Amino acid sequence: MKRIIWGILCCFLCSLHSLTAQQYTGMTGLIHTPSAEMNEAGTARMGAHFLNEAFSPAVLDYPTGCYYLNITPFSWIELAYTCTLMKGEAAAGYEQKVGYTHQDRYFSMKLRPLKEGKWWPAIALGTNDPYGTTGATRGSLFFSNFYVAASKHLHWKGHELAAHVSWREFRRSYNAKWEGLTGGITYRPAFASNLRLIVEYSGDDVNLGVDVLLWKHFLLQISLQQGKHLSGGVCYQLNLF
Amino acid sequence: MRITKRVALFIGVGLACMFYAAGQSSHSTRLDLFSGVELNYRNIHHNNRIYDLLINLTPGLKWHLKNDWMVAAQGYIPVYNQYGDHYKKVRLNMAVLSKEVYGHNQFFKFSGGLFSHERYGLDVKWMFPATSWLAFDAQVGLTGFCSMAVDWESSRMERLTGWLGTKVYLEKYNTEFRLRGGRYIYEDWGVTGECMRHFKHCTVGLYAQYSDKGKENGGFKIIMMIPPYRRKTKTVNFRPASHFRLTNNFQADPYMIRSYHTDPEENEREGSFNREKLTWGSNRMEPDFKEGGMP
Repeated sequence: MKRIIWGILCCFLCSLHSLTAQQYTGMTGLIHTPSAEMNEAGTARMGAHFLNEAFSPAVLDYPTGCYYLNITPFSWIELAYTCTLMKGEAAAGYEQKVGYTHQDRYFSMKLRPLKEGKWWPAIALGTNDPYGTTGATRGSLFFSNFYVAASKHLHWKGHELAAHVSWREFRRSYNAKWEGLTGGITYRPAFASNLRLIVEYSGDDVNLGVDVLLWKHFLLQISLQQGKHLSGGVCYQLNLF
Repeated sequence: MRITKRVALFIGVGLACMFYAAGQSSHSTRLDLFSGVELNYRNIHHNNRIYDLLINLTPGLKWHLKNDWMVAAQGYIPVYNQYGDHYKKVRLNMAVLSKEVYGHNQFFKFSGGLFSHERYGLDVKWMFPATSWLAFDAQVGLTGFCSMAVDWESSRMERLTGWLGTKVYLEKYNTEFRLRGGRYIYEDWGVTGECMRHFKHCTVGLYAQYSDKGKENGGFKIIMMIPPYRRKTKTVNFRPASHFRLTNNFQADPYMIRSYHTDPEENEREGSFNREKLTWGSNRMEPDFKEGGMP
């Protein structure tokens, strides 16, 4: 039985492609926190993610989901478009039901002015949800934040250990608990380089997670926030070159 | 307004021109019969749905005639409609006669007929590749409203629209920048800036707009060329449409900075002109569709 389980695991972990993801936004990163890692130029992603209510801004006090498109047109810029489902009432004239029929839409962008070198980390600047379109306050900006991030990878006999640090500023009080210094450590074992183990501090809580790239195209991420709140998702990715 | 004599006359002249062009043709003609899918979606009504969807099949034809004449037509067959009764009919979306003219590094395309966005009339497109990386282009049209959605409705052909633009193409990166401004079909004046990168069989672009009526807007475009990428060209060809196009309009404004198309397969990747004649921009990339059978 153990051999069968081990065999299935080996099949799952057979790809040699690297992967990184702050996957609920579609962008590269850790779990909730960003990093300075970038996808390979030409990579496009489309996927969906389940968000535990503890994972979302305080104003979304229920579990929800999101879906996204992501593109890395050049190695130094990454863009994503994310829609998060929200509960809401119908407009006047329609049957009054409360369901996941509204959504919040936002863009994300990350720029990497400094590529990682032998002695220095990669540095990236980024934002999620920078621009609002509705209302006098120009939108709800539920996920709006700006950040600067640094990432450094160490390689030893095929193993990869990386340290990530970032500073985030949110624009709304919904996310105040996640402001400031964040960071994490990721580990990619030599025997399964498509697997990544993540530990992060998101500014308020410690999260554990794992992501794995299956069959070169399907990226899965599962995480536990504070060791108990489960979130996760899957995306399809391919290189357009 | 019911169909006018003016529209009937216009169609009559168009048919006469089409038969004249066909008469000029010989063995070098080619007929392409194709079909694609058009996906429309909107998220503007809180009506207990995340999206309203409108999915149309878009069967069409392109009859390539001698001397760069072309007859093109496209229909709409709604297969899923949450947009309302206006969109439920099987109808003609485009019927266009066009002629391309080249000379002195100037490229023109003259078109007449029923265009997309329920416009009919006359249209001229122009492009001037000044250098290998810089080009100028423009479009002018005199059109009226013409719709077969409910009944056959039309207005006089008296709305003058057009834009003037410039394009910069960085061949090393297959990246293109566009800036254009002008007057559009809902009588708004506006300007659009666009940046797109052309990948193998796919183009992804971002755009930002400003118009006097809609104010600021933006979004993205994805143009995916549809396989098979190796095709045998015969006198009559049956094939899928050349591409699938997905656009996002952040303000969900359906009227701002809108232009019609004069070709059922017009898109930002392939442009409006014959790629064998106009070797500028993404036309310098390896063609998406090559001659031959399945690899």
